[in-house]
Amino acid sequence: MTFIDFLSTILNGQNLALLGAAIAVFVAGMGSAKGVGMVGEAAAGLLTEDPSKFGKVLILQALPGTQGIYGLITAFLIVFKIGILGNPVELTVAQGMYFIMAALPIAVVGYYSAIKQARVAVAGVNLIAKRPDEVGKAITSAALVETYAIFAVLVSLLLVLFAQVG
Amino acid sequence: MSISSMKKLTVFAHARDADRVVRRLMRCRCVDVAPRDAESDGLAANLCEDERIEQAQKVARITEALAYLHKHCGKAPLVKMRQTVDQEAFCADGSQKEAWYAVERVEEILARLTELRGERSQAQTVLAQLAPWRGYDLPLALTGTARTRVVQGTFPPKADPDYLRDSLASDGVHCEFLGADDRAQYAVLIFHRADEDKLGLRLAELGFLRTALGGEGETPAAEIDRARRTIRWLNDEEKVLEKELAGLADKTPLVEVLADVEQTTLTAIETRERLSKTEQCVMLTGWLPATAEQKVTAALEYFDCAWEIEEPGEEDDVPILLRNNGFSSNFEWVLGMYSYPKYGTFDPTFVMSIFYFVIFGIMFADVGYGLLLVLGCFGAIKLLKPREGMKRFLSMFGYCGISSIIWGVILGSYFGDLPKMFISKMLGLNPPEKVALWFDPLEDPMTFLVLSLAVGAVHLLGGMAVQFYILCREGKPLDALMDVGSWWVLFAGIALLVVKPDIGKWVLIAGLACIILTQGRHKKGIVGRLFGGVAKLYDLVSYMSDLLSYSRILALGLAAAVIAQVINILGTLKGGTVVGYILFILVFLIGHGLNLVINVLGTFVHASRLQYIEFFNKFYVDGGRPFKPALPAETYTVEPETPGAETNQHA
Repeated sequence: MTFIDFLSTILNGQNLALLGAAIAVFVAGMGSAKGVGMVGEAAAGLLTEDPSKFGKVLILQALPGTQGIYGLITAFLIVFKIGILGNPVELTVAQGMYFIMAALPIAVVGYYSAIKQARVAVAGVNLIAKRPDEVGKAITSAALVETYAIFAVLVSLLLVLFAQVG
Repeated sequence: MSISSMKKLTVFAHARDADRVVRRLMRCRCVDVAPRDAESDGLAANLCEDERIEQAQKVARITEALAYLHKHCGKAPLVKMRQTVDQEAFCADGSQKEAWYAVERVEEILARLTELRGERSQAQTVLAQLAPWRGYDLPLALTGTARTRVVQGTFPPKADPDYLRDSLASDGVHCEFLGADDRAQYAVLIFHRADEDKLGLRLAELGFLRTALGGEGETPAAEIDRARRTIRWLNDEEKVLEKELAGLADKTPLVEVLADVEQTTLTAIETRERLSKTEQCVMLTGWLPATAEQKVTAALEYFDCAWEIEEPGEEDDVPILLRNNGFSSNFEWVLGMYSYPKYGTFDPTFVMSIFYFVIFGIMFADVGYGLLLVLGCFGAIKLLKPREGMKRFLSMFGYCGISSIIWGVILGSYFGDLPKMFISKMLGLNPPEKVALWFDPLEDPMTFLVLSLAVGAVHLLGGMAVQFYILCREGKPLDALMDVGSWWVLFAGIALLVVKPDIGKWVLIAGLACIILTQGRHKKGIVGRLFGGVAKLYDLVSYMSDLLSYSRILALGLAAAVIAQVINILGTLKGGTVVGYILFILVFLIGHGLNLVINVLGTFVHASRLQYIEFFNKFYVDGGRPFKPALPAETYTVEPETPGAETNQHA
């Protein structure tokens, strides 16, 4: 088998679509993992002083986690669409590439927005440390960053849902 | 639906009545006692620092005793109901003394337990120290006779005892080995007092280390017995004390009431410190809702005091008390998380609560999850008698659950696509074609997007309508027409352009003209005005971005639906077998439970955000200070037939 043959067996449409699903999960997931970790560290610092604020900082810590969930949703929709769990659909290489493209918005924006959102949330944790009543403002500020992840997942989802396959 | 009108209360009372007046007002639950304003009245502060510190210590003691009782005495129930207790009656009928006795007893027992554990560890040290010396049958206090010295000590574990014994015998030392362990060999040496100095070096060479056993003079065996007896006594005493402590668990409810009573006293003292005083009198200033005037007047009539209730002045920082109907008042805390409105402006709670209800429902449209929210929230309220703030928090999510159910029926979501999956995979039957009353968001996302944006458009127009109303109420109907009306003409034009382009075109142009002509009216000169108007057109961009922001309704709605779908696929993997049903139940409980939590959080945050950013920026004047009346402490108790508290409720 030549190298070209090898490549063409691996790079079929189905596998490319799966790569798209994988990218959506792991890139967005990496961002969320990093983000949730950052906020968790800041939160732990606050909780050593005052464990009663756990409920408040927990929401902040959960916020950068949503990008990973959006990646997961996109991946699942791709998997449904190409029928991996039931009757696999034959895909051309171009169709496979389409799914990679569809996964890119949530992968890239998910990654960056999770980290940027986490930085706002870390600042929010500091805000709660000094003024526990202002938790609403801390959450709202962090949620503003999420808007762009939402737009990205929206585009990803619509692209996947409207994909013409099979 | 409005911000309550407030009145300013000023009370002059005898200094000796200060405590009773403050407590009385606390029981009224409707007076926000303002901190002393040193500059304006020139009076001294009514400080009672010693009293406050003493009371704070009492509260701390109770908290500590209570923490111990909760932790160690009996199982705490998973959920706890508050007791119905009248705090004043509690003080009067001797229960307070009884509770204090319990607290003191807990403290005594805890102190004795600590002491006892110290004594026991001391005895255990003696025991460990003397164990190798058990065979030694001379009193420990004996250091020798008139001519001889008796010395106890150790040799290294590896040294040969026979060699040591012989070698020492030649130096005139009698050596007796009592035993050995892996650390040392224990020995007693007897020699002439005269030899002591010269033997020192020789013994050191052999690795001998003196052991200071101390002791009371008895033999080690007797000492060991005594230590054992002590430990036994201490153990017995510990058991008795712990039993008594466990018995005190019965008093926990009493101590809980005491905790509230003493905390109330602390609050009363702290409130009193906000007062000003002269030699004989104190002056209290505060705020009360106009509707509570009679209640407060009636309360003050008990005392020999003078008071005045007046309208707030221009300069006053009036606290905000929101007053809404039974449905909307549950959403006040969402407003509180942002900021309260300024006194004299518009309270948007009612309008917001309706939009919140609808938007939450669409974002989280699911009959199953909605039902869980309704049952969980309203059930908790029924069972737990939560405090007012928590009650409203739960009620809000309960109502939002109702909205989820309604939209779940419309969009055909019952734990995602559970009915379809269950019928086809578990029962092996043909599922119904269409579950949704209207459309299925996953099948037809574009319709869902249009629905989301349409709701957004209504929300934004609602915000502008509120602005219109506020401007009219302020007596500026012309401003309302120009600032809001001209935009509406423009929007109508854009809408008509799609439906009827030939009419729409002219309406659109009329709208543009209105904006350009009116929006620069605060500027100077014709050119400045026109330029201001054109610049204002740029706001169109912000309206567009506000509108697009509502596409999050679609994204979050799809997120919940897709995750639910995945859970259903996983749950029905094994089909309708016994294993299949076990798997189904497990996956159902864990998966849908998790999805519920994640999505309630996400939906709550984003539904709130749509209010704060998109809705409020059309009209809201924030920066109000919430009304916080001085209240009796009610962590563990609830007053019988609580007269409706006049307060903003935060969760």
